[in-house]
Amino acid sequence: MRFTKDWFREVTPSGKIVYRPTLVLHIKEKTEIVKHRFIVDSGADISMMPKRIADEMGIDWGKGEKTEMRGIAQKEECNVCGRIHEINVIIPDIELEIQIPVCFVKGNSPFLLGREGFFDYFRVTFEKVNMKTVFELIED
Amino acid sequence: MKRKIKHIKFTDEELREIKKSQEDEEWSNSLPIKKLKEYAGEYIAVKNKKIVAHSKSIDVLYDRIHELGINRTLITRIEEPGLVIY
Repeated sequence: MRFTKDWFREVTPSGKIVYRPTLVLHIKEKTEIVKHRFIVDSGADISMMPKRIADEMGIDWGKGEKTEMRGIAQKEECNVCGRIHEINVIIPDIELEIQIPVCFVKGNSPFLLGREGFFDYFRVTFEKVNMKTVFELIED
Repeated sequence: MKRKIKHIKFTDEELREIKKSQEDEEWSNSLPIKKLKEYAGEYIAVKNKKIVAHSKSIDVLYDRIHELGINRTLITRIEEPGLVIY
């Protein structure tokens, strides 16, 4: 079971185009299904979303496992506090629902699909030449 | 990690909705550079090939979507212009 996604087009300050690998996942919130575009980030240990999404899903954010997220900034004050919850996400392209851990962080964070969880389900190939990502479900 | 997978059988209505969603996805993939610059650093909500709400704050974006009563939107964060390393 495999599917392919075109990279998402964005722009640099000089006006140059940059393409990023993304995947749209459907997420069941309290009253509806919302679609979120995630950057597929093989360098991220875990997936990440803003806390507001946890609130919209009816998740008690404070009950999740507490964790500190560190990024490129090495300063401790730049670390972000998050809570990890297992959530279900729908991949409409192949009519599949999977459970992955996501770290919900306060504020306006990016939507990242990191390795833990998601990369256990899929073999992910980044085809920069074609600006496409190939997702292949790893069968049991 | 223990994997939990469920195969879903979508209804005809859900499949129609997914098709629309994929059209919104393709549409937002081809936003003109002018628009990308206009919404840089913001979250945008897309529905039926239109940007129905946008904000730098995810909270404000959600509040606007709820006020408008629009459901099943596609939310995308348009990064500030530049190279991104998370």
